Amino acid sequence: MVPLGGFIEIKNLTKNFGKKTVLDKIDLDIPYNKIFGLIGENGSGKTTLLNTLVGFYKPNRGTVLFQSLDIFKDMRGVETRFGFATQAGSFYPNLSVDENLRYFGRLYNLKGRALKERINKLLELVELDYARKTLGKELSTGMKRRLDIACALIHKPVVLILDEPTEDLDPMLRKELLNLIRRINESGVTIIITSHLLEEVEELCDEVAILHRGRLLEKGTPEKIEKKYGKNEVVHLELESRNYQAFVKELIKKRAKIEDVDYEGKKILLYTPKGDKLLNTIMKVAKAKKEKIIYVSADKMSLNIIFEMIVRGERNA
Amino acid sequence: MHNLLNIILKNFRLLIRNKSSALIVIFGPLILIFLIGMAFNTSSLHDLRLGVYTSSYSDLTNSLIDDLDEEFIVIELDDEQYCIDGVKSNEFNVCAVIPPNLKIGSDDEIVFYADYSRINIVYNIISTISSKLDVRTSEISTNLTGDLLQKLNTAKVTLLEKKTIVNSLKQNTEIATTELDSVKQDLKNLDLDDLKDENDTAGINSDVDKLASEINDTINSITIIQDSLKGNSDQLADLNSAMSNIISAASGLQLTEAEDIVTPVKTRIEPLTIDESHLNYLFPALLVLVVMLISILLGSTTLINEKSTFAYFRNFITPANDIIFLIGNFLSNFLVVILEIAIILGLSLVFFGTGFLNTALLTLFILSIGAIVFVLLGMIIGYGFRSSETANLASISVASLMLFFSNTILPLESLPSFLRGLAILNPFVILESMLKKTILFGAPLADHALGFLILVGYIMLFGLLAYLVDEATKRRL
Repeated sequence: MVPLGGFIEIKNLTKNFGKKTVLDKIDLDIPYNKIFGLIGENGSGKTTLLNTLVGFYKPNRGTVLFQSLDIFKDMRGVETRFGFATQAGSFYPNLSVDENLRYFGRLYNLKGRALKERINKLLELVELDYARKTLGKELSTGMKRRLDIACALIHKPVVLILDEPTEDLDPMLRKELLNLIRRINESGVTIIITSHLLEEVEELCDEVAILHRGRLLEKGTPEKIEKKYGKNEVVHLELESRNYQAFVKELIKKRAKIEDVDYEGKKILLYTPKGDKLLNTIMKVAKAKKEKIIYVSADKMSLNIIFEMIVRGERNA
Repeated sequence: MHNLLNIILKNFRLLIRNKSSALIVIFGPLILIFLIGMAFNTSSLHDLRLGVYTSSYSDLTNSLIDDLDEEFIVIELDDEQYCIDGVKSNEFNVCAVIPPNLKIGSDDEIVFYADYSRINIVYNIISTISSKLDVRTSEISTNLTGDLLQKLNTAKVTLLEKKTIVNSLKQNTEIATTELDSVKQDLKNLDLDDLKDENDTAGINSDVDKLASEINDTINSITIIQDSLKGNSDQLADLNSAMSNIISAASGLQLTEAEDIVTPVKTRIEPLTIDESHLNYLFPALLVLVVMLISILLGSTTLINEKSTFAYFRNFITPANDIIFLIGNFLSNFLVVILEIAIILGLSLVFFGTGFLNTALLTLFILSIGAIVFVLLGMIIGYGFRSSETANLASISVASLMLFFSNTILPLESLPSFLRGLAILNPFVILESMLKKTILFGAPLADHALGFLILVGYIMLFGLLAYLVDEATKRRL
C-alpha cells in the first residue's frame, strides 16, 4: 500500500555525543519504494543517522516520522518494519546460514512452516540455498553480505537499511549485490543505502543526500543534483613542468573562464562552463610557452566530482 | 518461552562451537578439581625439613631428634647461623637450636626458628613440633613423678613398720612407770617404826632412822625416773602422732599414678567427622571456589562474546524484550554450570569416594543457588565492561576478593570485627558454611534457612543490578 503522506520524514534531527555534534539539524524525506543513497566521508554522520532511524540512538533534538508516526514513540513499529544490514555483518559467525535465519526469525515471532517458507524464499533470493548448512564464518565476503541482507529481511520489512553493503567487494560481487538490491527494491522494499562509491550510488539510487560533518549539504535525485552543479565541466590537465600556477595565470590572461581550481595527484582540475573553449586555450598557451602536455581531457561533472566539489567548498567555508 | 528457548539454544550452539571457550569453561574446572583432589587427598604434611643444630649431643638430645625424625626430614647442622638462614631461604621449614648436653632439669631452652610469613603452614609445623615435644616431655615428667611417688610409698611403708616399734617403746615405758609406781608405793608403805625399840638398847633405832632416810631417797629417785619416763612417753606419743599424720597424708593422696599427676586434667579432641584427608575438609570450599570461578567467568565471558559480535546489534533491533535476552543468557550460563557441577560431583564420587552420596541432592541444590548468585554477578561484569580483558580482570578480582575474605586462606576470626561482620555476608562464606554443614555433618535443609534467605536476597539484588547495568550500558544515550 502506497502511503499518502511522507514515508520517512526526518525533522530537525540533532544528535550529540558528549560535546560533539554528530548530526546537526537534519531535515530529510525518504520516499516510499525508492532506493535512497546517503553519501558522505568517513565520520560525516551516515551510520549515526542510520542507527538513529532504527532507534538504536535517541536524538537530542528532532524526530523521525515513519508514515506520520514518531518512531521513538513506536519502537515496535520500527523493529517490525525496518531491516538493517550493517557494514560488518550482523549475524553469528558460529551459527550456520540456516541457524542464523532461524534464530532471528524466531526473535520476530516467526514459527514453524511460516518461518521455514520465509527462510527458503530468502535463501533463494540471496542465492545462498546451497550454503544453508555452512557456518557464517566460513562464507566468502560476498556470501556474508547476502546472509546479512537475508537476516535483515527475515521479518519482511518495508524498509531495508544497508550500511556500506559493497565495501570490500570485488567488482563482480559488487555488481551481483547491486542487482540483488534492485530485486529487493522491486519487491516493494524501500532501501536506504550508504556508500563511498559514488558511481554505484549514482547508478543505483533514485535519490541521494550528501552529508558532511553531520550537516546535510544537498539532497535530491542524482540528475537534479548534477543539473544543479553540472553547469560546469572539469578539465583534467597534466603538464610535464608541473608549473600550474604560472600556466593558469596565463590562461586567465587569455580570458579563459575558470571558476575553480583543484589538484588530483599530478593533475590540476579546472572547472569551467565551457570545456571545449578552455581546451583550445590550453593548447594555445602550451604551444606559446612550450609546455609539454602529458594529459588533458574535458569531462561532464559526475556525482563523484560534484560531491568532492561540494565537500571542498564546505571545507574552505 | 518460545524466544527464551531460541536464545538458550543459540547460546549452547555458540559455546560448543567456540572450541577454546568450551575447553576452558568446561574442562578447565574439571582438570582443576581433579588435580586438587589428587594433591590434597592425604592427611599428612610431606617433606617438612627440620634443621637441627647443637654443639654437643646428649642422650636426651638424641631421643628428641629421633622423635622429630618420625615427622620431619631432620638435617643435623654444624652451624647455628646456617640453620637460621636456611629457614629464611626456605631450605628448612624450621630450625631447632638445642643447648649443648641437654639434660633433664636444665634451665636452657630449645629454640625453634620458624618463618611466620609462610602463614598457611607455619601453624601446622608448630603444632606438629609441639605435639611431638609434648609427648616426649610428658614421658620424662611421668618417669620423674613415678620415681617420686615410688620413694614416697617406700617412706610410708617404712614409717608404718617403725610406728609399731615406737608404740612398743611407749608401752614399755608406761609399764616401767607403773612398775616403779608400785615399788614406790611399797616402799612408802613400809612402817619402820615397828622395828624401833623403846629402849633402843642396841642402837637399832638409829639404824632404822637411817634406813627410813635411805628409803625416802630411793622413793625420790624413783619419782625422778618416773618423771623422766613420763616425758619419754609423751614424746613417743607425739612421734607416733606425727608418723600417723604422715602415713595418713601419704595414704590420702588422691592421685597415685604418675601419669595422673603429670596430666591431672585429661583432654581428648574428638573430630566430629571420621574423614581423614585434607580433601574432605577442603572439599566444600573447593566446590564453592570452582562453582564461583566457573559461574563468574562464564557469565562475563559469554556476554562479552555476545556484545563483541555484530549480531548483538541485530538482537537489539528485534522486537524481543531486553528482559528475555537477560533471562535467556542467564539460563544458558546457569545450565552449563549445573551440568559442570553434576560432572564434578560425579567425578568426586568416583575418584575420591568422598562419601557424601546421601547429601548429594542437597549439595547440588545449595551449589545451584550459589551458581545463580555467581552467574548473575558475572553477568553484571559482562554487561558493565566492553573488552574481554577488562571483564576477565574484573571477574578474577571479584572472585579473589571473595576468596580472600573467606575462611579458605585465613580464618575469619583473624579479621578486624568490622571486616568480619562484612565477610560473613560474603556469598562464598555463606555457601562454604552451608556445604560444610551438609557434607561433613549431614545437616538437613531446614538448618540452612538463614543462608538461603541471604542468598535469595543476593539473587534479587544481582538480578536487578544486571538489568540496570545492561540498560545503562546500551548505547541509548
